[in-house]
Amino acid sequence: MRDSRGAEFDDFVRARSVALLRVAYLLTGDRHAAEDLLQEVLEQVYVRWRQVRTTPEGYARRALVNRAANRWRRRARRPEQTLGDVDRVEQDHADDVALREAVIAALLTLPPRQRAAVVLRYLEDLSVADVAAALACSEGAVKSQASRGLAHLREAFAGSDLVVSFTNISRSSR
Amino acid sequence: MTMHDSDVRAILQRATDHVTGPPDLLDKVRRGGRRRIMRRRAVLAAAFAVVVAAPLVGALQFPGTRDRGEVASPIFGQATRGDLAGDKGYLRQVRERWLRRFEENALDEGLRGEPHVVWAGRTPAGPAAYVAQRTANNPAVSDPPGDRMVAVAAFVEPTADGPRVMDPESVTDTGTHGNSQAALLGPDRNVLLVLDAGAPVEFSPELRYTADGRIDRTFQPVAFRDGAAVLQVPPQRTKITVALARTPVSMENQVHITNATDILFPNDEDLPPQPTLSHTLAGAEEVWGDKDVSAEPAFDAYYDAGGAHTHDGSPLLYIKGATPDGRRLLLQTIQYDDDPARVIVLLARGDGPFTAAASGFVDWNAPLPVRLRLPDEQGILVAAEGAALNYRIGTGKWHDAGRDAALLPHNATEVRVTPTNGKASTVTTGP
Repeated sequence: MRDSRGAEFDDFVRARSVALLRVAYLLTGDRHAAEDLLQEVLEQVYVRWRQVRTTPEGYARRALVNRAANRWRRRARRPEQTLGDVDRVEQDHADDVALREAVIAALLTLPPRQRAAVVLRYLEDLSVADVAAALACSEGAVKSQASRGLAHLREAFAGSDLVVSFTNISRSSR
Repeated sequence: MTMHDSDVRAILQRATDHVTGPPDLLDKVRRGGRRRIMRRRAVLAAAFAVVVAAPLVGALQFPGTRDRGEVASPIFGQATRGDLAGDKGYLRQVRERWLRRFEENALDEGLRGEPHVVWAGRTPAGPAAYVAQRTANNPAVSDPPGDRMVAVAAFVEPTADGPRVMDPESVTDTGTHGNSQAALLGPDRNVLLVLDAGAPVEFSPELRYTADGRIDRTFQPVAFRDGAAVLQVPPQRTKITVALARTPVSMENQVHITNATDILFPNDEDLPPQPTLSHTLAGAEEVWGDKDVSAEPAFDAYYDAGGAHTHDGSPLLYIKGATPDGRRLLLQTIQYDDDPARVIVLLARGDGPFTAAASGFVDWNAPLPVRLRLPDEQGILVAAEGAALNYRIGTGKWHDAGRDAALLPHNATEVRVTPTNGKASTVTTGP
């Protein structure tokens, strides 16, 4: 049965769910948790569609960040799942898997808001203002969080062959 | 080497390249979204705040899909009422907003004819209206069984951007009974618009409790004029203190407020989980036998007929027991919104009806949250989840009373409460 949300909601989910799932993946570090998180958030968007239909993506991002933060609080009491256990796909290139694990491991060391700031700023390529809206904080706070997060990632990747080789590849392919 | 911003972007993208959405995500989201809507209504219903009006957002099932010819509906039988019935400019604006609403969110059932403004009038919050339009198809609805959907109807509220169509609800061929009959208007939600559906309605602006935790409301008749009544009420921004019901006031006769759900769930967050704590005291089996705990009318004085509430996650405590003189004992807590929880003890002799024997308020932060003295020297009912309980009479020796909950002798004077990982407290049983 189609309901009063019509095709608009469907279009939003089809168009934006992959991008949001990628954000959720980097926020949670776990593919399955990311899918669960995204589903929860999109259900929330579904229920609130009337109110959020003009800016569903902004609402979804805020909800993702908030719910992921709650999830972090819950998970703080138990060890993180080993990412490779659930995310490794046989046919993935070994370098890709290694890079992915390195990135996720580095992100997981960031405090939640720094992690969210880095992911939204650099994966989603959002403006500082949009990230501020998603994190419900000032633009100055976003700049500070993203800067600190970035510095932390640079430290984490310092000397990493994977990243060096990747950056060389990415530059040469431009 | 130095990592640039562009490197970080590329790395994050590369790390997520493999992520693709599950193919059934949209279906799962839609199903889950509908469940959430239903769950929220179920919660409201559980708190006797029934929102059964079935707004058209996935709440209804339509086992049939085709029309069965012309079906009548009483809401189309009258000219527009209200003091703005002759204001062509406002009515045109309302119809435009209505049509736009359904252009943007088309109904499967389709619409036909023109929208009919059932009522339009001034309120302290601004001009408001109630609009209905026939549907092209008349599918059978799941509730009430046998009815067919014949129209959609909705309140139109004033906003800074002009009239806004609130949640549309389906109207069936048996009329608008069960549909929302009221709306809270204005930014402070302090104007209550009630449509005249032809039956007397009573209204209570505020919810209070008596010292023993009963509902204390004063109802007054709603005076309809030209199709509706407009009432100034205390702000209802975060919780609903008003109650509306057809006469006689009862839970079954509650008049639904169309935006009650929006007010009670402002950020669409689910209610906090409400743990259920159930205990059966020694001796209960003998007097209870296989009798079930059902909705006991003796609790009615503690439920808010006509009101709509949430809860704050306080535990729901149930205790079954037996009194020394062989009566069945039933304890239950009830908690609304951010109000304190209340606790009620009912007693029943044999197969007779329960009557309220004691009641009061619960302080879940106190060492002994529940402490109620029963009449006729039947004892003192105490409860402290997870704690070991001991009692004594005067300066006598301490007696073990088990854990979690106990019915102490009527002459017990002190209770010692020892949490699993905490310090023991001694509480007097009081008068």
